[in-house]
Amino acid sequence: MRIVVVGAGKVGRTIAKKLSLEGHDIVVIDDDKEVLDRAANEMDAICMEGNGADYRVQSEAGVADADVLIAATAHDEVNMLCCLIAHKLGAFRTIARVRDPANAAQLHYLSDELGLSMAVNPDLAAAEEISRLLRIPSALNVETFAKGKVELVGVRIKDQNELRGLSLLDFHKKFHIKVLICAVQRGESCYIPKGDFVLEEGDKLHIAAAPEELAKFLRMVYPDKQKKIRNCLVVGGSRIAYYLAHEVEKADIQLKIIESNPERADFLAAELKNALVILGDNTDHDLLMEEGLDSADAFVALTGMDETNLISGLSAKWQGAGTVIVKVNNENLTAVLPEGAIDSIISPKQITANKILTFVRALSCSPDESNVETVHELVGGRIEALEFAAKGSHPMYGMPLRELNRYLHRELLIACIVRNGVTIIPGGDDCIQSGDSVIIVTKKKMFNDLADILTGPIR
Amino acid sequence: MVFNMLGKILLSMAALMVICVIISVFTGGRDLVALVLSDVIIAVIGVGLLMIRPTKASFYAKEGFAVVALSWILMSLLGALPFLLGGVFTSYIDAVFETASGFTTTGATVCGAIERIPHGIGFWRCLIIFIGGMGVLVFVMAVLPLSKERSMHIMRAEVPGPSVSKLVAKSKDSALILYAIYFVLMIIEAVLLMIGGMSPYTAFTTAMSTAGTGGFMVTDAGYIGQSTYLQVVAGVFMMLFAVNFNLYFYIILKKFGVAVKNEELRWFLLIYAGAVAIITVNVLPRFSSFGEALHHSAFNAASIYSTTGFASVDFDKWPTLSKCVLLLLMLLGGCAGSTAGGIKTSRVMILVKNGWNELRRLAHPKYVRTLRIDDKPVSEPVVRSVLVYFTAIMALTFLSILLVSIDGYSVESTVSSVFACIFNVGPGFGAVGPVENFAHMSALSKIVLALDMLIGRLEVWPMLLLFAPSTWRNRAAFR
Repeated sequence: MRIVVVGAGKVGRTIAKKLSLEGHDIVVIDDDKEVLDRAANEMDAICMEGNGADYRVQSEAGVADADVLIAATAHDEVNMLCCLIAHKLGAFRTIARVRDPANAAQLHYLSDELGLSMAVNPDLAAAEEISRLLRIPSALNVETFAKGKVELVGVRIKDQNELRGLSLLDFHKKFHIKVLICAVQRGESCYIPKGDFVLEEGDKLHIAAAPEELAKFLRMVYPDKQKKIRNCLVVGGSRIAYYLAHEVEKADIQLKIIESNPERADFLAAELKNALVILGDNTDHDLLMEEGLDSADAFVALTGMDETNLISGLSAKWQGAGTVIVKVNNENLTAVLPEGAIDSIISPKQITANKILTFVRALSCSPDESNVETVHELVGGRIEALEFAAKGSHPMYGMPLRELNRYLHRELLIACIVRNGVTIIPGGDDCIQSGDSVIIVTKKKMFNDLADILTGPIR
Repeated sequence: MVFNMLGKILLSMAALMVICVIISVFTGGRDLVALVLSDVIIAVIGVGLLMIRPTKASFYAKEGFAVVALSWILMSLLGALPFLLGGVFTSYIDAVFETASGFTTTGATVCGAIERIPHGIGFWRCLIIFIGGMGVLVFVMAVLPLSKERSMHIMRAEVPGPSVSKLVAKSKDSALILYAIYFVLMIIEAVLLMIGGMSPYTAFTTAMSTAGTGGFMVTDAGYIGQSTYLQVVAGVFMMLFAVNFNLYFYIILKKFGVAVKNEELRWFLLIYAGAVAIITVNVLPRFSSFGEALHHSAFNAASIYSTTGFASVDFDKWPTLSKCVLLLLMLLGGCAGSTAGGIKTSRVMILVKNGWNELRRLAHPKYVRTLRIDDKPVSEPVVRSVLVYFTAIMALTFLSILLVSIDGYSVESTVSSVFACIFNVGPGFGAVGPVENFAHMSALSKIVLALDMLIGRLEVWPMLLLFAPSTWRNRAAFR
């Protein structure tokens, strides 16, 4: 597909790079020569200097024949204008990054005029992710599939854990619970484990199951950690904090937000009825202690500074806070952290890029193909978990997995099948049927259609 | 990663040599053993390099430059094997000089009796010009799957000109389009030459030689004494191959406006027209008619400006003014993004405009003006890189002149020999004139000139970086 990306910032570059690696023809537009040079070195794409909201620049970039335009500049208004112009020029679909809550609200109102197929709000997406983590405190990351029918969580095996030294066969014998360990990260390497795989201390497991089964399992394995989060300390009253407060409203979690800017604190206090807003320096250790850093069930760092977030996250962990979640914009900084120092690291950039990627992949399919519904990246992007909607008819439907296995790619696992709202952890006798949602975990990349999981045609 | 790339390049080269083996079989096969043996040696070394498992998948600017420089040196060293094994040259240095001259599309020869070269090796001699013209790595990129992420580093190091722009989003597709245009133009020329009475072998070797703006011929007399039709065909195609290939792509896309409005093309044609006018007037007394004078000055100016190096008459006997104009044309070279050598017309434009701006700034110290080409501002780093490039290539030119002057030829021969090699032209004046060759020079001069050709073709930096100690300090990175 021909895709035009306006804005070569962090998000724009990440998306463009991933899409170009998937084989799409990419044009990147930005008016900053420096970031554009960086983009040109990082990926195989045409990089154009110019204002992406200028119709002359857009038409030179070939927006008229483009399949998708992605507006990912830092400014909502510019992004909306880009989409408007692209729509008028004839771009088939447009995607805008919109951050301001006010703009997000009127986007639905304007979506026809803008020809907008998708609006991505990185802050909202990050807030949703954080709220999921708060619901399942022992998880390091939580992804959902099939409209929440399946959850995929990452957990780490700590010392004194009964999972240690267990092979996967023993694991299923011992627990009798319908969960599936679909990927294991051990140090630098990652595995899609088979039955004889033995779990070790320090492994990070990615487990898929229906939410209720998962909760049962986590209560068994992490009895101390699985208590519900009641209070949560948030440092930095950013937009993510705003959205987070709305997200956790129903979950009965007491949110305490520390914000250093008086105006922002006033705004938050006026807008958020269920959150406690505290005006103060968010690097002030005494203040944090006073507000119960050591006894907080969860600590979330959401300031605009990565360094502040990481340091305060480390210090919270040191002081004994429960689950620690930290937002970073630049993931390079996280490389220096020791394994497990912070429970979860949230990158709005990656979340946004994944959302857009999923959308573009689904576009690559014709309507009668079994297209991608959701994509999540695990283990730093080395493993992908994909959800497909099985449509139409295909020889693989109805074939027991025991037999289907021969045709599958290596290092690929059919993790879950959701049929009529029921989650099935498939065994050898189960089969895929038309209408199912199928969740696949794989080391191979770039699957666009469910049939791509097969190495060849079924005879 | 670097060794892996070098292996792929050598295997591509071995594959190309198979064409010559086939030709050898059909034309008597005197050189069959030499070609097959060379082919096997190159392939074995290539496979050997591929066996070295890359430890790093990453590929940055430094590796890009290193791959380009190393592969060109390796190709010159190994591409010389058929000449040596086939008995065309007895000295390895001569063979390497000839190969480097071919790959870099220089066309300077050390062979006195060209017609005695067997056809298989003779075809190889012109095939390497064709491949070298567009770039070996660009060729490899077009046919082999490479790491996609950082291919620009290679493109930038191998494609001539101050800045590289891709035609389409993917480097591979861009390379394919360029090669397709290149190949089709070459075939058209070969067919036109055959209509003019050339044998298919001569026509194809000549067409490949023109396409790369190289200048090797398979006959001793070259273009001297050929029919007017053949000279006109070659003359027109030399100019066509010296134009930025991106313009042909625009023409295919029916964007004629962009192609015609190209500022570099206008400068190129104006400079050419001016040079032809001066030379025509200057050489008028030596020819029987104005038409003949115009014809020969147009052919030889096109040959030198495109850095091909064919000659329709012995222009070494022309008056000094004409020879100086030709010397200047050697320096200028064709357009960026073509197969020509020289410093490229677009760089000349930037140098002239920048000089003019500086001059204005002397009179008006606060004068603010951006340099524009094609009505688009040229950024400061590009201008700076052009200035540094010009300084560096001139410094290397003078250094080479000093080294070659040890041989004791006339100043004219010495200077023109270096110009002819570093700007990838081919023939110079005096002892290295169009009817002479480089065979009589000393081994030192041949090595210096062969290096000059590589420096000129790769536009200085890859070669210089290769010899910088810092590139080698961390050798593990090359795996």
